[in-house]
Amino acid sequence: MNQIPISRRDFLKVSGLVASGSLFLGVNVGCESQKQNTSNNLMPNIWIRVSPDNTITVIVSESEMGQGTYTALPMLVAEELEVNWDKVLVERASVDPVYGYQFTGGSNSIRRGWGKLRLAAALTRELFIRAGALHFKVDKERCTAGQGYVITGDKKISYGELIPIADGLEIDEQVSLKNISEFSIIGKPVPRKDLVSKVNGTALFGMDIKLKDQLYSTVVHPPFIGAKLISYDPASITNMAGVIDVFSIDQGVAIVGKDTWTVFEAAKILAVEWSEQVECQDTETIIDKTRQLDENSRVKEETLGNVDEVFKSSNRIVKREYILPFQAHMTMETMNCTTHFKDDGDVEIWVPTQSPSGVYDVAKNIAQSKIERKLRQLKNDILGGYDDTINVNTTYLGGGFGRRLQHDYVSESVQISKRYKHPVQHVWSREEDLKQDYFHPLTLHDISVCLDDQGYPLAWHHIIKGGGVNAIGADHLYDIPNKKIEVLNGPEYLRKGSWRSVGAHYNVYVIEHLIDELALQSNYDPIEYRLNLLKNSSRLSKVIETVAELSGWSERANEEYIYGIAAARTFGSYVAEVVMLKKIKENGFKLHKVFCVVDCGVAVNPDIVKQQMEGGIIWGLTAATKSKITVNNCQVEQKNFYNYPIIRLDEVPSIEVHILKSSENPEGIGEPGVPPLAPAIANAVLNATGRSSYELPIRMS
Amino acid sequence: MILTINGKVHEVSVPDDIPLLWVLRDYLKLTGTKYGCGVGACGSCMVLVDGDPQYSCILKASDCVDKDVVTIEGAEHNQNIKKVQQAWIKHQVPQCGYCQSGQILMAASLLDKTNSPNEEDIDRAMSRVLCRCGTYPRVKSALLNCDKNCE
Repeated sequence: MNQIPISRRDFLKVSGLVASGSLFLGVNVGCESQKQNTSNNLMPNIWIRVSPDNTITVIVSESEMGQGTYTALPMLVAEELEVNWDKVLVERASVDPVYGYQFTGGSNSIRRGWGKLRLAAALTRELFIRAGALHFKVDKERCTAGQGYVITGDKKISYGELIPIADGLEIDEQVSLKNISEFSIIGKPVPRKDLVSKVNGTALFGMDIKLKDQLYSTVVHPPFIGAKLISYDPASITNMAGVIDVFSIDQGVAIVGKDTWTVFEAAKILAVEWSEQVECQDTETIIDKTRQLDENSRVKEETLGNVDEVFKSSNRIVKREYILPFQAHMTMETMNCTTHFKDDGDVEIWVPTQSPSGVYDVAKNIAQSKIERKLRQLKNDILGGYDDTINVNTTYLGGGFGRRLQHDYVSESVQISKRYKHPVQHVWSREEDLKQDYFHPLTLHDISVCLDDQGYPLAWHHIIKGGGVNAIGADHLYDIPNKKIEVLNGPEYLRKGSWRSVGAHYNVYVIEHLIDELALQSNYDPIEYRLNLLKNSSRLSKVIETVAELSGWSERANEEYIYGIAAARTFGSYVAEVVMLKKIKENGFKLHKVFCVVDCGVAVNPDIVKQQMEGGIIWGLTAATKSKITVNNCQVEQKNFYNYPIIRLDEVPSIEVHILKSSENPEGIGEPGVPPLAPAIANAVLNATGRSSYELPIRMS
Repeated sequence: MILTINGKVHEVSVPDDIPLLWVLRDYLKLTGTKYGCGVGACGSCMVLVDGDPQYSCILKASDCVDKDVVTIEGAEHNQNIKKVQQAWIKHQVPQCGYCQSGQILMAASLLDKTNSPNEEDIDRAMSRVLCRCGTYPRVKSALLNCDKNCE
């Protein structure tokens, strides 16, 4: 795309009415008063390009990995710009630093875009209204905007036709944003922009890049982290037709060939010797060592009230240990990256990534020497701009879920491609993809609760132990006067990464399952028990009450169907889920139905919100009932879908999602559907059998 | 090797044992068919061979000589693929979209057998194609309502 130099002195100070009626000030939309006109298009800011044919291109700096960013973010622009949705095109932002450090994760895209994109669009709309007023020679107060036109009386002119006039105008720095009641696109289930190409096979994922004279590569990685390459025998594969080269790189042994299959087959045959690990782990030793972590490993401690005192003086204490396993991402598209070192010295990369900025950094460090990087930095410091000799093209992502925030495969691709003049597509087999994952960490939870005479918690002490673990989701909203949350971080054993809903997955499981156990112990209805502890949290209470009503909670008979509930606020959104299990045989259960109620503030596109809740529930189902990663002799035991099974269509219950109407600012939606699912199932099993599930996956019989 | 893909005859020079998937993707640049597992476990690579759904990642290309192969790119010659595509849009099925060619080819072959599949038919057929985003409920409802939606 065209690079738009932006001066940073013009961080706009804009006051505008937002939905809640409050003022927001000093929002940086990256706009500047000197608009840039490239060819005949007008780009009044870095997010919007208006073309003479009146198409509007929205630049999106968040990756599309299924969660709907290429639809929901442009909706924010279309709403304030007053344009016809059919005329809106979507373009992925380049790695130009004006877009900031691009990183799609943490259910943040809409939260980040909500202010800045609407503001950028409103400023652009006002610009065209003033241009229209000049064109019609009327006061701008007599002009309105609609469907991409400026209208006055019975006359109208398109934004595209107004470009020459608008180009000569300064951008106003004051504009009002619409009230919720005025929205015509936000809040509507607008069809996704990306779906036509996704049903006809033309959507380009990373692996679909096919360039002239393209070669293919893969890497044979060590069998476990820490193993070092001792030797490999090129002769074991060089006689294979289609194998072009074999050589070692930082991460293992690279094989280059004429097609993907040839390099995958060669990788199976290549004779490689790796060093042995002196001390080898398996799942049991990892659990033992994690259990032994103590305060020397403490990285976080949050306290409220006086937990230790209350425990000392109490005689009603419940202590539990939960052990939750490693999990893998298993994105349907395995890791891949295509790199071309061109004759002119430029490096072009095509990659499905959640962070093109991360890709850029990795590539730059390998493609350029330290001196070269310094010189380029100096040049940019003096002349402005950035080093665009490394160009990152972000394709569609065949799933992300946190895995594509890591860029080990990019590093490999750049190292390999550096040797060739032709583009090289670097692809991992499913087996390498699973073995080389950045896993959801194994966690141990020591949790102790001190109860009052009524059976409600007086003090709560949650210790989260593991390698690279966190307290996301541990800060529950239950009104307990004394609380302590500790995080003890030890060795990771397997590489650790972000995995859809990150820490909230394990922390909410523990909290929500224990809450039910406590309620049951004192003969409370689990919903009544929760609501009594949530008197200060009306939004979480409301989703719980609504899901109770929707699912017929109070009329449940617990004969044929058994119910379980869990709820949490994560990534800003409030979600409650009720699962219905059906008895299928003596002590056996099948998932029958899941009810889900979500309050995510304004639901920008309610159909995408529903998709994400369905997807989150199904993601949760796999981890709750099917999958876990185990380690034997340092090695991950699972290889492929046949022994790391993910949920199939015939195992999925019907799912009913209900979105609460809200005028609060929008919150995260990609992840909040996940955390309540596993504890809701565990709670249903608990209700049916009296048995708690202190480990995942949950035993369903 | 001579292969007939979507009614078009292609002559390709490829390794002897290469699976059909990689001929489609790497040699013919028909990239709508996807790699997901390489062992016939996930179904992202599903194509129709003489009308039957087949995992193209474990099917030798040489076994497809003299057979009719249909991929997602062949939708215009196949009423049921078109029908499924329309239902998929109507129900907004895809999320990341990677497995959807496989889902759609599998669904089209189901419609080849029965015009209005019931839940059991859908469960049996569609459980052969995995989706990590969780589009299953919409796959199901799109197929259950296919007759209504696709005309």
